[in-house]
Amino acid sequence: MNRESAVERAGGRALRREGGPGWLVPALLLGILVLSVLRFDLLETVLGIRPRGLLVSRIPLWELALQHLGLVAASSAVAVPLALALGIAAVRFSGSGLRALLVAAGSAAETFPSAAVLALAVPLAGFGFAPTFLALSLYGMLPVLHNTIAGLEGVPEAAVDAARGMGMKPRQVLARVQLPLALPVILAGVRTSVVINTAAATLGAAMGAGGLGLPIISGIRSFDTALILRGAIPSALLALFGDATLRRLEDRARRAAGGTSGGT
Amino acid sequence: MIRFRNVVKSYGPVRAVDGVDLGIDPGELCVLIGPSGCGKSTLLRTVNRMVEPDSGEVFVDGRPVRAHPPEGLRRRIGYVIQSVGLFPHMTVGDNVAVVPRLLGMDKTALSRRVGEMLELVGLAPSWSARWPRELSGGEAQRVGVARALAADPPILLMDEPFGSVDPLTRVRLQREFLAIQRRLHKTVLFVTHDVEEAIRLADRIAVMRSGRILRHAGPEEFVASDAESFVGEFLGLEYGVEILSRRSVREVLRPVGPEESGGEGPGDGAPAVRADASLKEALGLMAARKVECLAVHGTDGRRIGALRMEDVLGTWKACP
Amino acid sequence: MSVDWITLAGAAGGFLSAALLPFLSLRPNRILEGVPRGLLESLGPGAGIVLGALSAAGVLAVLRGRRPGLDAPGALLSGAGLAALLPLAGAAAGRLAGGSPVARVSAGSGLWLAAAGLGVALFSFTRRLPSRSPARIASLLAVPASAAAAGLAGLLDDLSLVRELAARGSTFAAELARHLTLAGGSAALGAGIGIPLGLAMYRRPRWRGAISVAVSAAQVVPTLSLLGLLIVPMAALGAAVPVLGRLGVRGVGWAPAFTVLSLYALLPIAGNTFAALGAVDPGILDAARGMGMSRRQVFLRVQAPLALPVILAGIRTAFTANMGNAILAALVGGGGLGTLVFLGLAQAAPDLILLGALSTAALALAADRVLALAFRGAVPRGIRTEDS
Repeated sequence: MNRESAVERAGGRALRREGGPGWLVPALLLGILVLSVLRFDLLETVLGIRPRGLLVSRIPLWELALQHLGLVAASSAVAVPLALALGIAAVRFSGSGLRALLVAAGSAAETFPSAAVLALAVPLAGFGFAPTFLALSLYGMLPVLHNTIAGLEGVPEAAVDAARGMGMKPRQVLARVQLPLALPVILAGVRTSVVINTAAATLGAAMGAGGLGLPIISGIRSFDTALILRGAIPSALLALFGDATLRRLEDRARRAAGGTSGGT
Repeated sequence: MIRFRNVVKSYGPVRAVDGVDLGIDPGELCVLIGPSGCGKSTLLRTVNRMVEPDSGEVFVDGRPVRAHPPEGLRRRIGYVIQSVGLFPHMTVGDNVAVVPRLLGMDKTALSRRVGEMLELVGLAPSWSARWPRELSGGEAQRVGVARALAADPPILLMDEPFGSVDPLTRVRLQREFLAIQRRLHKTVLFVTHDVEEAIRLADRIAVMRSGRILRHAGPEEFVASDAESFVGEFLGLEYGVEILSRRSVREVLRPVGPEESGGEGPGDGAPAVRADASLKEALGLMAARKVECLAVHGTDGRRIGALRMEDVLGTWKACP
Repeated sequence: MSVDWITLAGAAGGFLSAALLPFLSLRPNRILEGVPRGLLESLGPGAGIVLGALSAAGVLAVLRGRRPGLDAPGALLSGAGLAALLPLAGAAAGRLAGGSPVARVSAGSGLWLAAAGLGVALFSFTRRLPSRSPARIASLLAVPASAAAAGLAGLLDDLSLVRELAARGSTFAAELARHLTLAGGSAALGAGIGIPLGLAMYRRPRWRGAISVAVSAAQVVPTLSLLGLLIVPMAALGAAVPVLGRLGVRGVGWAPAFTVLSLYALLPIAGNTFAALGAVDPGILDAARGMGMSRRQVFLRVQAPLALPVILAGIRTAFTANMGNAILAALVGGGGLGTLVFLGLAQAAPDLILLGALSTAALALAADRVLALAFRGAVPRGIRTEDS
């Protein structure tokens, strides 16, 4: 079961079309994100609200945003290369049963709710940064692994055959033909992974990992809607920014791959 | 049976069909041929109102098609397209039964009809329980033809029906379809861009370009086309040879009686051709073996006659 | 036939972890720090069964390279080893707890990794057996059968998770029911609105852009943030319209949770419906029209049945995702199994966290499998794929 529906892709196209060419949408989102993190009080003035809770207000919003970003970046830095390597190994040595094992385990694990994974990490790794980092690293591997296998296997047989026929070694076929052609699909997996982890990291606040989820959860607990918005708006923007940026990279890879790599 | 009167259809600035007048007699197989984008499919689709002309009129059986509601009209006109369009969620039998069922045929008549239709296209009635995804391209197209014929429509519209199968299967499907047509005498409008296919099947050929019909005539009449004209260029210089595929050796062979031995007939070493082969095949064999005389065998393998090159080509002028 | 490196690696890793890492962990009560117990200490002679099964699986994985036909014994041995783990751990828990009713014995990393190693072996050996072979069926059934038998025999009563469950029995049942209602009800509502919405999107091209942007944005924005963003207008609405407020529409409680979960289900279902209708081969629709079907007949007899598998897959994904996301309902006081998780986090009680999280995950997996089976029958045979 793929996470990304055809419509989501259509939606992405619509977003891009409406946003005009190139990097305008990501740049715009980044601008609003930075503004919202540094000067959230502007919006609060417009809406005429102020958080009552003094507890969280002491940690500046930009620090929470950096915690959030750090959590996502660190876990993705572990998850993406690891999943990529596993996916490549699974396709290269498909006879060994590694592929079957990874696909079966991966699809079962994708059904596993991310909130449950985060919660389960606490008894294993305690409170704070560690359990959230552990959970995000493991959970973030799944879409990358899934798409790496699907992308590599979706490369047209004819291209691989032609490369072999020209005398490329298996390693060269992989590096020069299969990976470039599979790249758009793999990047789509990376994007899904980053989006999921950005979302899951908001929950990390409940495990003591800080981040933009902290004002949301504190706000909900103290019925403080202004505080909720302080976390909800920047975290939503952060996720949208990550998604839009990686979509652009995906588009570039798709063009570089000749625009033929449909895949999943 | 089908008549187009000054039919025009535009898509934006493009005139896909640009003032077509054309008549197709009952029981006639008319092939519309032309390069891609010449408007032949659009023209075909005006007959069952899949495309509504901007102006002009299409008549079926003397009545304008506009006078019929589209659904009712389409149920009485068979329709076969290149992609076949079998419904993958229905069995072969249910696919064939679609139109009779729409027309309200009862169950027992329906299953009998499905069996008949499958036999007609050379498939065993037991195939009706199969699923479309289990069929090869040729088999699927056979089912497509059976489905189009199931409600016994007097008219058949075929839009490159054999375009997506391999050449051998295509020739077999063409032969089988001709045999069916000789039995059923449908009025057929057949779209293709394959000249050989047109020659094999057509009673009349209409050559189209840029939405207009350039020439409409029997296949034999095109032999004299000016090679410089579009029609001559499109049909190609080999048309004179291709046209030989319409006639069989049997039609022109010189019978060899038992009393006639030796003398002018070909010797025992002469290459042999079957009587049901086409003249084009016979000519090919002569060219390959560098002989101007062939022995002709019957289906039982016994010699029944001889064939000389002039029998194939007719009389021709000496070098002018 | 070649050496099965995957099983060998799994068995070796499981063996080393079982032997070297803490197998069980003993806590004097439910929130105190645990004391690790090794394999021998925990199981005594039972340790031989665990190590024996793991080493046998490894040896068979190597030997099958030379002697074919070892997959069946391999499957049976690893199945038996995996099936033995739970009763062994349960019995050991009773011994380690030593009669203390508040002591908690839970699985350590050694036990988890030994189970993972045996699981890898079981998967690899059974995968190569024919699907109806007795060895395959027996080895796959061994684990659930032994777990059920051990549970019924009371052998598992001293494991921490079971003790936690026993202590929370009635709360657990109530939250489970709440969770199912919340997740299932919101997904059903999402399907009820999402399918017509997808249809409208397909019929009216003008709506497409806006809806598909909303679909992708809602899948990108974190659930918790969306929940937060919705609380604000909900609270305002409940306060402005007292009738709605009394019905439960307010910033906290079931209403915001239910709304967010419905929205979460609605958008992908609408998107899938639209995509599925658009993905039907135009040649097939052309044929249907050309044969004289009316628009309604083309839709009901051809397009809808052909789009059905994708639409159902969307519903299945939405139900499964909602089962997991419903954990968040507890944050806004909406109840459900998340209540146990967040209570466990607040009390630093690992067993309670485990109870809530594992049962949620089990619900999600169950929803996925049950719907896959249920929808299989609804998909016409001609377009059924093996994977669903």
